[in-house]
Amino acid sequence: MATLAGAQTTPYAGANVWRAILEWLTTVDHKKIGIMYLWTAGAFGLVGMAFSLVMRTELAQTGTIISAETYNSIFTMHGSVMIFLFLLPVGAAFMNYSMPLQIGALDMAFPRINALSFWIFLFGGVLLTLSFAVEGGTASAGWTAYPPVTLDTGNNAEPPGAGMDMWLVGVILLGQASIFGSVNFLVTIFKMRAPGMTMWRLPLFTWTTLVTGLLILLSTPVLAAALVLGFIDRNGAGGAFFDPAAGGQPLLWQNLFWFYSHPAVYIMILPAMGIVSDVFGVFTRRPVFGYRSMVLALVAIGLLGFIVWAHHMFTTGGVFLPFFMGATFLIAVPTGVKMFNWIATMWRGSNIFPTAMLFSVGFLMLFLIGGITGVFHAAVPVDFALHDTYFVVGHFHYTMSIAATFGFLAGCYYWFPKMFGKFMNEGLGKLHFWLVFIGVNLVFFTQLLLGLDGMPRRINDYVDNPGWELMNMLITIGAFVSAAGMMVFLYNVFYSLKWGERAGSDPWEGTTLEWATTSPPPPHNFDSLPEIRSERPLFDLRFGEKLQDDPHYHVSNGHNGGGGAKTPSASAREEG
Amino acid sequence: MTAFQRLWRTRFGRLTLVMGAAALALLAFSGLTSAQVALPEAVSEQGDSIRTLYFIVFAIGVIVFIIVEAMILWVVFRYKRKSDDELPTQIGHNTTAEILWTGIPTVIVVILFFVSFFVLQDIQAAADPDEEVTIVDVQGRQWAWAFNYAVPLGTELAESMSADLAETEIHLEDPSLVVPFMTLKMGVEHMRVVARTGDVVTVERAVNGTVAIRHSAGSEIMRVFNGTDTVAEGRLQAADNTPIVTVPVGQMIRFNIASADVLHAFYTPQFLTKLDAVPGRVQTLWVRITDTGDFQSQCAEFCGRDHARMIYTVRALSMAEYDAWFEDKAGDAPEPVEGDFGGEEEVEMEEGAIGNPANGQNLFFSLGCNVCHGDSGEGLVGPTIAMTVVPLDRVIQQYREPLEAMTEFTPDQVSDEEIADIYAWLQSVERPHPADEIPSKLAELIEAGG
Repeated sequence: MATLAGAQTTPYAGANVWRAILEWLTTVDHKKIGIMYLWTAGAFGLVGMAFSLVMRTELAQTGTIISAETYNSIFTMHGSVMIFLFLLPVGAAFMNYSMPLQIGALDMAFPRINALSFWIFLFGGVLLTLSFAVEGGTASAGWTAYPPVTLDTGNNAEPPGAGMDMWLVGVILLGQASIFGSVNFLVTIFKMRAPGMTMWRLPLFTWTTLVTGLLILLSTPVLAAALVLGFIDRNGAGGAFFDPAAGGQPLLWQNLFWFYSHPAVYIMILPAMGIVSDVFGVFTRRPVFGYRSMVLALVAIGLLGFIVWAHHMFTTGGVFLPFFMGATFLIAVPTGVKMFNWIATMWRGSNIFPTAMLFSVGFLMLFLIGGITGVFHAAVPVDFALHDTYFVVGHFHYTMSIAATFGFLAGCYYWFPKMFGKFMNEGLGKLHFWLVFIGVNLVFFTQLLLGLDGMPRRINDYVDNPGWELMNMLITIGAFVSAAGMMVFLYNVFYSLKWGERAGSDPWEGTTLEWATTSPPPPHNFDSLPEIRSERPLFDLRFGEKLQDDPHYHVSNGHNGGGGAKTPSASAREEG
Repeated sequence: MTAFQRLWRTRFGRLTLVMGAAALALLAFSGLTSAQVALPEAVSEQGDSIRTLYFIVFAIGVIVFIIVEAMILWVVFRYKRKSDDELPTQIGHNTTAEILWTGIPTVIVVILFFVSFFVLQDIQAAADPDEEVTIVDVQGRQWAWAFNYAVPLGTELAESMSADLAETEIHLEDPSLVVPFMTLKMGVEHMRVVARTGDVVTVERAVNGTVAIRHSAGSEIMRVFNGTDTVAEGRLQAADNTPIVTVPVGQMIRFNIASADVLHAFYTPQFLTKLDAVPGRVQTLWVRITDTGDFQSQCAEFCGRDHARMIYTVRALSMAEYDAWFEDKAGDAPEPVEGDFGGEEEVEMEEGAIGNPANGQNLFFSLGCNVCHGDSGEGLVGPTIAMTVVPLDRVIQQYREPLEAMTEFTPDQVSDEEIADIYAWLQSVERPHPADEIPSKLAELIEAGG
């Protein structure tokens, strides 16, 4: 392992393209795997965005440009790509890249399994996208794939073709990649922490990785089961799991699917929350307010996330409503705690606003809308009115397409110097932020209003009620403005890779351990580690002495805690 | 110095200006698009309750939104780094504040839970047992709606039964009232009459039904009739005829919602509610309508290719008008038929007809032709096809490469022979409105092909 890792960053790597490619293909280095996740997921994200532009072009006016089949296939793939191939793997990218650095580890606990996760993910993603080429096209029943419209029941007028099977198998593979990844994250956090890195000193991003790992591990097997059952229903000799004509239960799929897919919402948003927590901690020069309550809120969100899945099914008539309504309302509490903690971190802070910070503030401002509109859906009678309308579309895009994505974009601007040794361009970054900020609000706030007025989702054409065509046109304009912003971002990435200003090992005055090594870090991550006496070892190093008179400034003196850090990375290095 | 500049100089002023500008933009936006930040005006009692609850949630949401956004903007404008070596306070937590911002949201959501819970109880409440109720059996099917009503047949179940209704035999007090092609109803179950041999009536499960069924002797038997009206609105391409469900104002209406194939959802925006149509289940939605009028509605659960065109209209009439409509639509009880029918024996064929009309009738229903063309081919959303004059080969072509909005059927789904069976049955049923026009393109076809 050590020799492989050593070979990867030989200074001559760039000299021979084929050798460089081979190195990337065979790497087990968590940083390279993280970067590969990031590039791949970013590419899929662009594909997903292109799909959304096709949809918005179709919906800009009444009447149709593309066929209903094409539209259904596009909106299905938009959701599938954005969730399974963009948001989930982008989270995995940052967790792969940053978490081992943040805990002072040499690598992930199982580097080869880590590489395997990535390659399974890539294969699953390619399988999903290749379904455009098969007869009958891609899956076209939405990313939720509710049976029986996915099945050939004999009653279904247009049963989907092989694309549906490719979707099922592709998502099984992606789930497997997730499960491998989650075990890896958990073992790494539990066993690979540097001396002194106790659980209560983990950076918040690492905490979110831990909770996310648990969520993935506990929920994804349930999705895998549902997908296998669905595959048998489609291809076996009448599995009769979901086909009502054969005695099956269509609602069973929804229960299994959401038992995964509701926690999956948190699997997507928690890493983003971790990123903005770290970003606030750095650019305010303050400790993240209520560190322990942040962790408890995370755990609470994780736990509650497992008992609210049926709030996606309020209108099915097959759900015990009061329980799921109560549990769903409760999620507002830990989410609110996090919100107030973030604001309190900036309060009386010494705040600066580079692009990473702008996206984090944007995250707060707009995640709030996602959260409040979520409360509308928690109130069951109101959900009866709003379910399956554009209000839902607006709501979950405020949480996923805005909040989670803003968090990840903050992560890009924040960790880009660490990954590539260069800053991203700040001017372009600010242009990117404002274009996207204006664009997404135009899109998704308008969608909330459309939903209130009763426009259902997943339709390729609509009755021209007063204002609908105008609102749809505004949404389309907003979508193209956002897309223009993302083009600026794309340009910024390539521009900065080539001409970006050089960044030192710690360009942001970071607080966590990833900034205690070179940018980019060596294959073995650290040559030496600072003493870890709080969740902000680098902050202590830089400002500790100056703050000795501040009664609120605490670090534990002398002993290093050390609980749980049973495999110090220093000794691992020597062995390696 | 203008007032604006003076205001911009203070942090509080800047905050006010930013939030004011955002509010103005919102107002201008909603004025421009005539969008409301409210649910539509309800036309039902249940909808009114939901709308009230919406405003409660909305008010709390807006207050929280303004307070929290103001806090965010305040800390962003107020606290900026002034010099490179500035070090802020390192206060890392405050127990009082943390308890407050855990406790207050908890209290708010607990209150919201109870308010929502009581509204939920209210809107899901069934009609009083002694209250007169209008029952509409809603069938969703790719991609149309059928709205069925029932009137008493005048007899009841003679023996208890508990069976899978795939095909079962039932005993009635007076089986002579049953005629071929009739759809019976017990509880929420629809049963299509297949045959009658002596006192035994053989029935088959129709769309509105559940997997397991149990009925005791004495259960009332109803006769189902299709009450779907249509209107030519052309609101959407390929949906020239919009099905209409007719209901009264003031009376509790029980919609029994079922699906013949995949998931659908019965959604009338002005009821402010929706309920999924789940195959294998019959689900109940209670609505008491308060206003007369036509209310645009559509399927809200994705159901395949033409999901967007699965629109319908709710027509709410005054009680008197509704009664007149109902009486007219229900018609008289069908003439009794003597002796046995159905079963092994074939229905009497028109001379020269080909195919097996009994099988054709079964196929007509199992393929869902009745949803668009009516239970006896009289035409609803789709054209009248009873006693069609279109030649068989043209009909087969229409199945394979449909003109207009019809669903395509491959030979795997229905063979040419089976189409001939359906064709034979259609020749045997009475054409209820002989003067009905054949749709334009089909008429051209007939002229072209003879």
